[in-house]
Amino acid sequence: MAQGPDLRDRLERGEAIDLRGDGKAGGGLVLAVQAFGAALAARGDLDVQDWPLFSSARKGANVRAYLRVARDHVEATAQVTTPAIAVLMNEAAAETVDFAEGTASGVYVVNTSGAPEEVARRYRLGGTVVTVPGDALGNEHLGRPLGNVAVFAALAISTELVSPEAARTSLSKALRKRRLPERLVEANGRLFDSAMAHVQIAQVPSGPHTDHRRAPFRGYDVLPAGAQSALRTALGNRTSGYGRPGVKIRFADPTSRCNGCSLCVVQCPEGIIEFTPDPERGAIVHGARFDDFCKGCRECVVACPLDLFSEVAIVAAPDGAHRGA
Amino acid sequence: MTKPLQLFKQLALKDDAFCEGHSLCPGCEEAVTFHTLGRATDNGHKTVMVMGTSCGEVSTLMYPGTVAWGRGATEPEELVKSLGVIHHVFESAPTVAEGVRDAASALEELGAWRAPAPNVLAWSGDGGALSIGLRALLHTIHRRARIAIFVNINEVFANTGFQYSPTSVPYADSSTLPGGGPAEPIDHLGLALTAGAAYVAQASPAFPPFFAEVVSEALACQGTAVVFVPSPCIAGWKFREGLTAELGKLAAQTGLFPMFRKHAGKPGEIKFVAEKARRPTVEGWLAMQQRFEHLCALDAGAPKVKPGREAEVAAIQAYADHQVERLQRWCAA
Amino acid sequence: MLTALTATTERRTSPLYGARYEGAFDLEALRAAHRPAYPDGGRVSVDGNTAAAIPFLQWWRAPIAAGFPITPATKWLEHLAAESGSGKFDVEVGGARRRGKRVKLLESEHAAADYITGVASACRELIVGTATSSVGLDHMAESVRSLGASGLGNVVLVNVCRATANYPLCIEGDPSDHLAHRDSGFIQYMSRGKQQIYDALLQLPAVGMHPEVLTPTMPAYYGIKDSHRVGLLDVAPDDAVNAFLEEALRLGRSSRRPQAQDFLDTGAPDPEPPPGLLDGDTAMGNCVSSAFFQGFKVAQKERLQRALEVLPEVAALFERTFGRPGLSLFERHRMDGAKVALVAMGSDAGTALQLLETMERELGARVGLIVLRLLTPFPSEALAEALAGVEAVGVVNNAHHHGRGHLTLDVEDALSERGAAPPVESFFCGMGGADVSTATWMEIARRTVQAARAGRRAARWHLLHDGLDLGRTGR
Repeated sequence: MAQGPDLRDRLERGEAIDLRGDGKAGGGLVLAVQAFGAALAARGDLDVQDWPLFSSARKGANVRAYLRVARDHVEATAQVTTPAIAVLMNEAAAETVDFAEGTASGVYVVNTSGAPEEVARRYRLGGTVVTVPGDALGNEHLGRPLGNVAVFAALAISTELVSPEAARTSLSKALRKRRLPERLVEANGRLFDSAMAHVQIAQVPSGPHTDHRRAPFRGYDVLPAGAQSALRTALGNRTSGYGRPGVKIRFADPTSRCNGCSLCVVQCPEGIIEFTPDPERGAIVHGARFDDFCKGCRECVVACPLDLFSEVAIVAAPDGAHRGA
Repeated sequence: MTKPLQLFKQLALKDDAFCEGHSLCPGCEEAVTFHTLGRATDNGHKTVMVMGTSCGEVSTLMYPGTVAWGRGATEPEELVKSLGVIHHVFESAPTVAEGVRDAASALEELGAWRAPAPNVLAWSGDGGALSIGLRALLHTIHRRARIAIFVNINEVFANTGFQYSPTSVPYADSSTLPGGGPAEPIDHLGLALTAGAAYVAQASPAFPPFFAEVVSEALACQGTAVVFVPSPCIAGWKFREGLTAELGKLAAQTGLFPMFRKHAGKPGEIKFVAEKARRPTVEGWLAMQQRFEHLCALDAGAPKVKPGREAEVAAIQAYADHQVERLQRWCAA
Repeated sequence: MLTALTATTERRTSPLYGARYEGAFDLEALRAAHRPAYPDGGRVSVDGNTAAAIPFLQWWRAPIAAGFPITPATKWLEHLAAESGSGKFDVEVGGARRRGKRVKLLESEHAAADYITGVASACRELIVGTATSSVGLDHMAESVRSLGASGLGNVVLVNVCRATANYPLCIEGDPSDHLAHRDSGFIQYMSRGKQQIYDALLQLPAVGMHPEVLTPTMPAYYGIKDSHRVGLLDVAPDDAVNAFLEEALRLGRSSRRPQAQDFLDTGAPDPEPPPGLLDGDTAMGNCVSSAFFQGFKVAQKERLQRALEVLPEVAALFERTFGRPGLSLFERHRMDGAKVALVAMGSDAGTALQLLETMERELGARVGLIVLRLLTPFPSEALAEALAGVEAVGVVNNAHHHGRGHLTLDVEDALSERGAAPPVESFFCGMGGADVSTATWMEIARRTVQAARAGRRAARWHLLHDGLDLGRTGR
């Protein structure tokens, strides 16, 4: 755990430490960062600011959260661009952003079922790589693949900036502040305890391949007056990452039972059901654009009277093994 | 000769003006409505869609990469397949749409527009049409603007984070009214009917055949059509994936947001609401949503009212019954 | 019954704006349906509101106007409503009798602004306007600030200046409403006298609709002192008004037809107009994040600044066409050899103009007068040049301000363009339509000349009425 003392030393020297997290809206990133910030503040000797990247992102869209901590008063309000700690709450977010952007080395905390070395290879990370199987733990304790409490535990352990006890207390406070029912506050506490035992940490060498420093801003493009625009640019926006992690919807109709009832077609919020029009029966379905645009909402599963859609769960157990198909 | 396809199936086969790749929540009913409107407007008429500030706007009209409108994979060859969509300010959709219609009508009457008269639609949430936008809604109706106004009702101001709205069912928890309050929802149907709209309806995509008929009737209306679309909001009401349609159906069947349509001067119609004795009570609907957890929750799979909260649940039930009676009177008006 | 076949349209795509369907609108038919308001032109006696309404009757591009009554702008709406309903603009089209001019009555100013947004965005070839004032302008403020950035240069918002808001209420004229909207994004222009009001309107849409400007315009004049004062106006014949406008609109359009990709490569603006909702496959009013918004504002600011160059081009064409001066950045009077300059705006400047010789005689120093007209974008460089060499400047503010005065700050900023630093005396008078008398003007001139002689200003500001200092000199 070599990075813990490094971070402590930096704080001692009066430097500020920046943290940035990437995730999906509804995936708990903001809460995790807020809880970490509250735990740091509870120490009494640090000044902490944390904030989400403001956006209109809703469930499933990419979100970012930031934190800045220092021994002295945190004055700087500029954006975090070279974080000492980078968090990846939902791996689906990393399909469209580089969560290590701006770093060449650092502390990386990733919610994943993989091991740190594998994760370091996948994302080209150098430094201290920390993993925790948050989704599986979330499934076990909350019935939902929500990895934020596990990630929060991983942050506490790997940075050594807060004690586990202080972290757990701060978590419960943050959850009550969010008006969560008490039964959920308790379940999250149990999740935290369990997560402590599942954090893995590895030191990985940095090098040119782990350099994610970004290109400097080179100006705005030619922009249309009044933010007028062409249409259908969303066709290039893969929203399949919006869905619950570890769950896929699929369509199977090996004996061509679809009778054209068309209910799935008209009730899919993404409009991605693929069919052949039949002028006498309706839309004869043969699939959907699951890979690129399905958000896993299950409306098709519920709507189809012939059960031709099904939800397939891919669950990663805390020990890293995959179950289900 | 074979029977023609049901209308909703015919619509399913049309070219949709709403695209995948939007950032509305998984399971958002509004997206389903947008697709239905997108298909129903593939009717040989140019379409102009006016949106008020809302979840719908920020999730489907985001420059540069999330503009989720447009018929077909590329700009259509034909003018009538093309789409103009505008977002102006929060409460402006009905009025801006009225301006679009008047421009089209003036051009047409003076010989400068020879394509068929366009479809002109206005889209707002309960904020943009019933709260800050109530003035605009009622006056546009009063002036008999020939537009189809769609009002998405999800009982919250969703875009700002699901605060209490004038359409909230009593005692619904929200961030600005924890535990909710006793006020009944604003009588949106009564207001639209009293203002004299040529066509007033309340329709949910949870009933696809009915919804398709209502949307088509609204687009064909030669006066002001107002369609309220009760939409379960997964992020605001907090329910599990896959329950959107069931919540929509129950909301209608309990009488909270009944399916209804009426042309001015003709009898109206309520659908999918049984006789009181056979009507589902509100507990089942309440128990599916975390925002009512303080009143009623599932216990071993069945809805159970929390001890001491019977009066609130009874008030919600009374509102549902009252809403049905009120609409029945309108049906006969 | 269907009339002609659907016009054939050719789709022209633009990577930025989507597609435009050329031929969707038959503008020739629209032009032919126009019945002239003044076929031969002529000299009329009208008040300011009527002078501002007449162009909307004369333009074939303006079949629709909208409004909600507010003192002192109401007559603009009433005149249009009476004229459009009189039958003289009715026309036979396709066997049916049609109204050539339509006036929409909305329930509020906010609705009026939203309504004209709908018309303007539906067809960008139409000119559509409304008239309002003070609290009405503020009531529609969110729409005003949105329109200011929208690119809808075909919107004309006539502002009949009036003391804003309440505590106390006052329904008489001063430019505080106009000055509260400096950053709303509109091209703001002030006129005084009936001819200026009318002439400005004939030209401003050509500035706003220029493809490198694409900014709506806000022509203004003082309430009561101009809106409710009758004077003589030379009205041009409709044909001349429209022919001029068509030629002025062509100023921004190249004779060749470049492809949209050309301008993306060079960074130059596309000379083709963006499509509207009816003739386009396009989206307007998108949401953006902080990663993009600033870029849009930079571009908006550049378009507004471009108006400084486009306006004189339109004005030069106007002068060639009608034989009288067109839009000016500001008026200048007796500035050659002036020892001091007074900078004023609006209806009261006329009084000063007629006193300039008396001022020189009584004060022993030549007093020049600059009357501001283009307010936004402010013509700083041109003003700096005009003020070069004067030994003091007296700026006259008719609007309440928390400090030295809106116009004073603009003048000080202009002077800094050239590093010039003559003393600037700042005056407040005429607020809420208070009379600005000869005595006040003489006192303004006297104090400005005094500042020139002393080499410094006597106070941060002076509050005057009828020649009397109101006591607090803002030290």
